[in-house]
Amino acid sequence: MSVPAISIRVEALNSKIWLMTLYGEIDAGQSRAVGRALNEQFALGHKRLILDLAQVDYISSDGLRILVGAWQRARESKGNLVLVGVKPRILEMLQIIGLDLVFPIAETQGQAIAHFTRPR
Amino acid sequence: MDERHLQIKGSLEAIVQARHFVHQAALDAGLSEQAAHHCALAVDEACTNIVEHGYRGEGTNQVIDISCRKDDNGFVITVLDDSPAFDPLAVPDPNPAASMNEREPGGWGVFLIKKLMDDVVYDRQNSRNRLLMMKRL
Repeated sequence: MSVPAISIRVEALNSKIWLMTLYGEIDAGQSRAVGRALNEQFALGHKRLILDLAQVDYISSDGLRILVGAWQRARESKGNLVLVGVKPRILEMLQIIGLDLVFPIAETQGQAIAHFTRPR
Repeated sequence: MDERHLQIKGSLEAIVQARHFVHQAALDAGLSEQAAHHCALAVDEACTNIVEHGYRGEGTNQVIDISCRKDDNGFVITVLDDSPAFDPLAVPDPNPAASMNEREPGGWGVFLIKKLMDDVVYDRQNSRNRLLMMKRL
């Protein structure tokens, strides 16, 4: 059985906000690739990130740990990491671990962008 | 449903096989898609712990044995490994209400297994770690 690779696309929504779209399943074997991609964005100074998970059907706790690390790094840089397109099964995991209270979660890309203009 | 068995290498890259194997077996046993997802996630978390903490990332020459069966109580997944004796259920639960700064790293995987499955038992069998995870039908 082949291992489904994660694919990652990054695009600038404007001069300050970047959208990272993930495709595939994020388990412990794939989470490092996601972590590397997020770190590359921070290294470029892209600290306001929207992470689109609409094409992600599966994520394990290792994958969530990578996202939490990225969220912490974004916050330390006075930025933020906003999740959008979170499927019910992933939202269930976030709720069990209590991460739904940590991550800003938006239903649409527009709402996600609005997170960056609100006072924190 | 007849009992099914799968043996995978003790590497992170092999865990996807266990996940898909358990997901299909759970569906064939009559579980809902959501319950089958819970079972797949539980076996993923169990195997990931074995590879990362039991085999310490050096398990490519070691194996994990997974079996699935349906009994009167529900759908039962058994995971066997050869790492040193370790009871994952003894790991303290993380506090989901704590802030990130207050949380200890780790423990999420086992916590998810406990929350998503209806019964979880650890014991030793023939010098191997055995984790049984049951989902009611």
